[in-house]
Amino acid sequence: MTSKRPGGSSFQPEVKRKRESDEFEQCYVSRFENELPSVPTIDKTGWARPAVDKDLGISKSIACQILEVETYHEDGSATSYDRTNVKLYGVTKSGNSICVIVTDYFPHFYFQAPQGFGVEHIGTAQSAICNMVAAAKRRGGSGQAQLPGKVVDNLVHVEIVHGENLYYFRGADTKVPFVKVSGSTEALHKARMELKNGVNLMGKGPVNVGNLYESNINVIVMFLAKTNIVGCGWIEIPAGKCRILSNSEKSSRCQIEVTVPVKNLIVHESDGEWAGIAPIRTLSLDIECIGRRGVFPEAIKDPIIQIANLVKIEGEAEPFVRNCFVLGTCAPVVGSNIIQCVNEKVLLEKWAEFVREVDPDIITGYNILNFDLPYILDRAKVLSLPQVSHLGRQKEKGSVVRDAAISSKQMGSRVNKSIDIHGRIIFDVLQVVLRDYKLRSYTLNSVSYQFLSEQKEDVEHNIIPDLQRGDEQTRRRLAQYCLKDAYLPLRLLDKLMSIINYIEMARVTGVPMNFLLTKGQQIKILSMMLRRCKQNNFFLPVIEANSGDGEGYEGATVIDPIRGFYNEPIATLDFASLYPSIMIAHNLCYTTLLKSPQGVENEDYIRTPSGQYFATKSKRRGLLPEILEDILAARKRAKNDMKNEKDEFKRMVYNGRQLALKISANSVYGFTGATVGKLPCLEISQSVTAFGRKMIDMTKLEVERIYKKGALDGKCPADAKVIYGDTDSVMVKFGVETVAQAMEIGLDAAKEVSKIFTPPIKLEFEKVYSPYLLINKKRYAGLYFTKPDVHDKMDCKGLETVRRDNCPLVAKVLGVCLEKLLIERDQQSALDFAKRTISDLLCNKIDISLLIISKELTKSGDKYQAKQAHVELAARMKKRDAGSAPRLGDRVPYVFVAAAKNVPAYERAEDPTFVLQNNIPLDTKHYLTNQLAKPLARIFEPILGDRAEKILVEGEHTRVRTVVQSKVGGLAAFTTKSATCLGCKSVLPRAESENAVCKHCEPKLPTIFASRMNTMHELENHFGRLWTECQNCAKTMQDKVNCSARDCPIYYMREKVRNELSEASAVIERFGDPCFQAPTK
Amino acid sequence: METAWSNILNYKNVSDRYILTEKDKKGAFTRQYFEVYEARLKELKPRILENAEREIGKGKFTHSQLSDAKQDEEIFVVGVIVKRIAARPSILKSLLNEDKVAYDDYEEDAEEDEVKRYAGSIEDRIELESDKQTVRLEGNISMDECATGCCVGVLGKLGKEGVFHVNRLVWPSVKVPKKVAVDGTIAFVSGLDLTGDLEDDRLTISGLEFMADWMNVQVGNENQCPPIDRLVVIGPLVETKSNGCDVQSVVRTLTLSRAEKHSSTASLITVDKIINSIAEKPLVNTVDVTPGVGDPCSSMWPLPPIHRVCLPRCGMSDKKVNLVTNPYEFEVNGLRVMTMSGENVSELLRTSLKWTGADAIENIIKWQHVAPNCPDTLDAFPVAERDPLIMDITPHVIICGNQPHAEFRHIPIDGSNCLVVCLPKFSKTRVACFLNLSDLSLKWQNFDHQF
Repeated sequence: MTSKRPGGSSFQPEVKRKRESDEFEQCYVSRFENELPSVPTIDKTGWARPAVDKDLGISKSIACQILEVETYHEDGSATSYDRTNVKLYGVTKSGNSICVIVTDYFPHFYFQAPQGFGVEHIGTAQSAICNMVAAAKRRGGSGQAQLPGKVVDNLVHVEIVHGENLYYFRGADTKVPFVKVSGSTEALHKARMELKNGVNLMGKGPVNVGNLYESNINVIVMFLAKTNIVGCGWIEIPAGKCRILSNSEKSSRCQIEVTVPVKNLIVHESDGEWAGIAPIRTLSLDIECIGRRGVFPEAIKDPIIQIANLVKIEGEAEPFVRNCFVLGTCAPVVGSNIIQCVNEKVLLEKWAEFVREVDPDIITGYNILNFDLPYILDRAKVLSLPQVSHLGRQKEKGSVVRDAAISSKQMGSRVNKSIDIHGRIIFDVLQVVLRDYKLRSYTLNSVSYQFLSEQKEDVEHNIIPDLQRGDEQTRRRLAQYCLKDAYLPLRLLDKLMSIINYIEMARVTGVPMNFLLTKGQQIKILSMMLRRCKQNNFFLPVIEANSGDGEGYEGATVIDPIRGFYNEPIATLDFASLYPSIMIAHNLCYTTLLKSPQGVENEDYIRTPSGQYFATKSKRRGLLPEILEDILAARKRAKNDMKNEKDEFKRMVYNGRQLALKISANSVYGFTGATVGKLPCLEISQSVTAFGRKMIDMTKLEVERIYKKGALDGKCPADAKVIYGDTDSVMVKFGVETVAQAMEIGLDAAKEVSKIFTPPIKLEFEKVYSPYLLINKKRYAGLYFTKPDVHDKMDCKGLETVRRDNCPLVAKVLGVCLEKLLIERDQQSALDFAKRTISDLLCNKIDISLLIISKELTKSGDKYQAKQAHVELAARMKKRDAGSAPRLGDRVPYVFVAAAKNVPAYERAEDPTFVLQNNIPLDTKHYLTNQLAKPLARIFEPILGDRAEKILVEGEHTRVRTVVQSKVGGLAAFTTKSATCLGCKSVLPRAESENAVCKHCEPKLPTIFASRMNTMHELENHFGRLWTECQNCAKTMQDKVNCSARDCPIYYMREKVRNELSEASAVIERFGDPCFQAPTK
Repeated sequence: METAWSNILNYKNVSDRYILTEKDKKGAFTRQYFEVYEARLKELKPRILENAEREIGKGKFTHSQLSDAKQDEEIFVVGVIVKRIAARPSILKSLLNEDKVAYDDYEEDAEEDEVKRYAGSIEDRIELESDKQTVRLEGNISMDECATGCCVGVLGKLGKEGVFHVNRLVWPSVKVPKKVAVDGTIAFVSGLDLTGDLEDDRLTISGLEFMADWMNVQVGNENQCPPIDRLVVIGPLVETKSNGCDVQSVVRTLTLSRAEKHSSTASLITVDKIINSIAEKPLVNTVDVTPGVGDPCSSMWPLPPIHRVCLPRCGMSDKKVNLVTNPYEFEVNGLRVMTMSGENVSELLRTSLKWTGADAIENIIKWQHVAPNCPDTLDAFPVAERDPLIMDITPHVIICGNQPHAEFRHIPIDGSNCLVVCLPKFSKTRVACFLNLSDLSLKWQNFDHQF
């Protein structure tokens, strides 16, 4: 009846709308108009950069370090022609920010001159191309309907140069005529398109020009290569050689803006005085935003309530600006400035002003690229605050967020945001750590712990609204968290020396620092290639991306391992810089590649083991070998400079450089092997790996030939045996007893076997493993010695010590077992330890933090192929309490709990906190069979043989199990509590329920009490140490620790000890009052 | 003619504040330790202000909060000291250096008599936390005059970057009751450290028997024992490797290198026998038993009495065994005596290269807190709303057990003085201390047998 009434259908939406409104009211921030002024009071001490010397550029030269490069198009006019100008953003030695606009620079490309093309045809060709480009411009609808004559006549410039295609050897000194086309980027782009259709170059009709050269090179890379400027390198503008722009003329916010013709620039090599680093400003930021219950914050709905900022100058120890923009009233934080904002609009606008005013060169933080910065920009858009996006150094340009998919061998496939903040570098610490380190967890908490030995309080996201809605003290607490989250990235950058290392890599490879952060490896090698080619008049052809991976080449080989536990020294012979050495030794390069053999083998050409032909060194020195030789020589110089340098900061700079050079040398081989690359050349990469395989085999044969029993004047006690070989190393058992003996023979072997190889290929002896556990290909562990007396470390490869998809228990058990096997050399002890740990696991004595698996909640359940444990758990937790449940993007920690047979694993995943609070029994057998068994079996098989797993999983130590009584669940509801004897656990009669023990155990009362008290002592110690550890970590003694850092090693243990200690304490109470009756006097 | 002495002292146990109440215990382990510091500051702040008015002058200083401080303005701030010492034991740092756990075991085995001091570091600094603000203290303050957890008033100025420049420190006011003339002798021993192994315990047991016999001899000779009115036995009675701040147990649990627990039943039997045999001597009036960390009672300061079920023989005696707390405070005819088992002092000694035990206790009197390093580096019971370890009244005599060296000192306090005694372990030295109550003189007596 109700549904039939008119207007009945409108009732429901009203109710629903009201409820949503109520929820919004709960979520969103309070109003502060009555408490705060509309314009906050801001202390700007220290924000501004140093004042500019008024003589700079006039009577003094301007020297600056270049950090960012961008290009822009300048339209021609009746008196000038189209240009592509370059903006260089940098910092002077005094710390002034500068924008150098470089004029008179014209990018170019080449094509081979057609048959018969001569000097007399230049004019005709230029006119033809210019007219084509002009017509294309008009068709494209660019602003000017009618281009001025001067512009049309100068759209491109044509000249004849002599050079050679980079690919293939065609004989020495075979430079041929090429046509070089210069112009603005825009013009060149159009010219490139039109040339495909044929051009009337010689006045005799259209000519098809065929392949183009260097027309697909990044314009910035081309500019830098042409001028010899390197990323983060220094340039100088002589006094009086530039035009200084006035404030009204400036297009940037830099303190200094100048225009200078490209020919007036002085470019410095990064040596001596110019190896230094300008006082670069780094801004680290972190935002806090308030989220609705159960939903990850969305910029379209959820406000930003705090932004913390720290600004530091590179080379100085501490930030010189610390502040936090807070929505609402906030109590002061000593040492930092709190800027209280009346609403979010004011907060964002004042923050953006701060960024523009403090004028950082680098913006850093943790995950700012994919969260904080996009969130701010999106939020500003939602609130219609266009000025907030003007964070860069260009006055009229806002920052834009795009998605950028990047794929590289080093980083895998990953979708990141791409944000352009003109003139500033976004240096996200998370991106750096992901790229350069392999860790179990990448949370800021975990990374800080790993590198700084420091933990931080983590705030549960559902607490943030309460702190925001509280008072000035609770918002102050939130500000402290926010400031800490902004401070730790700076500490990490210092510790990891990331900025210095990236600067040196930019210098070595020539690309801007930003390219190192946002692009793959190839552009670095391309930059170096381009510089080298320029010197030698080689031109890089445009090769269409060939995604069809034709013939896959054979990877590096291995010598099959002779598996076992070697309780004797194993010497390792390594090739130094193997792939670079091969390329140098055998002159492998694009420029030496032959399509077919020419001349005499080994004199005019070589044939590689994979069947390719290359010209020998005497015919032509390859470019790649020359590049590699220069890199290795530069590295040697850098190491030497580092050794001689007294200044600690400079020493770090040189160390960053030598590391950059090492990485670059090893990247060259990968560059040639990339089939989807600018310059793929599988002939080179195939040849390199083929030589590598052959050399490993030759090494094996030679070692076993020379070092037979009695060799080296009797120092060889047995025939040498190569037990394993991998990409660039060979492991040899010489049969000696001591590390010193192995080292002596190893050194000799390295020297002798090197003789059979072409220089600079060199076999080196570096280390001895003793003992050595060889499990399989790419799986081994050993004690690593570089000196005879004491081992350097335990070296593991391919074991489950760093995998992130199992629980920490596995890594720890493996680690201890390997220590016992390798350091203590006690196989029985290792086996006993493994058994005892398994027994402890089955008896529930392993701390729950070691049993936690965590995975990121990346998409809702229905999008996964199969049901995932962490997804199902997140859904279950959401039903229990939506406010505290994990949200998309969170990592979900879980443990496996006991359940009936045939219950699938994904239903047995449970939240560790829930498990602790309700005393839920764990599925310890699952951990044994699915996590521990195989990794342990792998390391014990070389010792115990095939029965290893059986011994571990089914031995006597697995017979005893502990049963835990749950507080929740089906059967718990029917449980009745009865007092039991603390000695024998029998049920006490109701009349005796107040007693601690039964009559039979009365005589053993002291023993029982002592045993219970021992348990109590341990728990008391744990409680005291764990909770004071948290206080020291949070650095507050007088405030509550609100920490939800689940990946902290003690997070769960500290909660568990609360319950256990309460129970133990209650047990002790059952023994009654401790004292005798009052003593007499 | 063995009869009890007629000169029985007027004894009163004044350790009530160290006994945990039902309110203290209820929901204890759901608390956090910040409540201890809150209670501590709340009780001591009025006494600091009182002392500031006396020392600086009433109206001569501006008491304010750190959050209201302006730069370079002289203010008086009251807060809690936190010494940031890099070498302070840390669970998290130990976990990062897991491979060193084994070496730590070695160091423990090579236990020395001396307390191992923390190595100083250039990063070490002193902070003051007040009203949830934290500043670094520089100027007229040194590492050797404060400890984490002590409450202090600071007169000075707030400088840049959260640094507070100290002109003057003001500690809480001290209350000492008037001393009255009394007669009698009280004996003290500490650190029996019995293991239950007869061979290991031989020296300790024979020493105790020797002492008991000596205390009961009535013949007049030149080494005659004076009449003993009380014997105070300071724990630990049972040998223990724990020192109340050991992080290794947590680390071992998380690194799967947990040691097997050992039972102390055998040592308890020995303790029971020994205490009972002493108490049964006719000329001994009372034996007070106060525990140390590791004895069969809670190991969180303040420690409750050892439980009577551990000492069944003593329970059957003539009610002469008195089970008491640690710390233990009592009055005899108006003379106030405090004893403590010494872990608090040992932990303080770690933080200074300079202090002796007596220095540490002198500071404790100055700070007016028995164990300011509770709970930071000494396990503490998580009380709220009160801090039982604050010195309401400063005793006339303080006895601290288990110290590396025998030591005593008279600490002048406001026209009076306090006798401080550091008592070494009986298990290592066989030395007991006899306090003459009439003139507070000490007699150190060694009870080593000459085998």
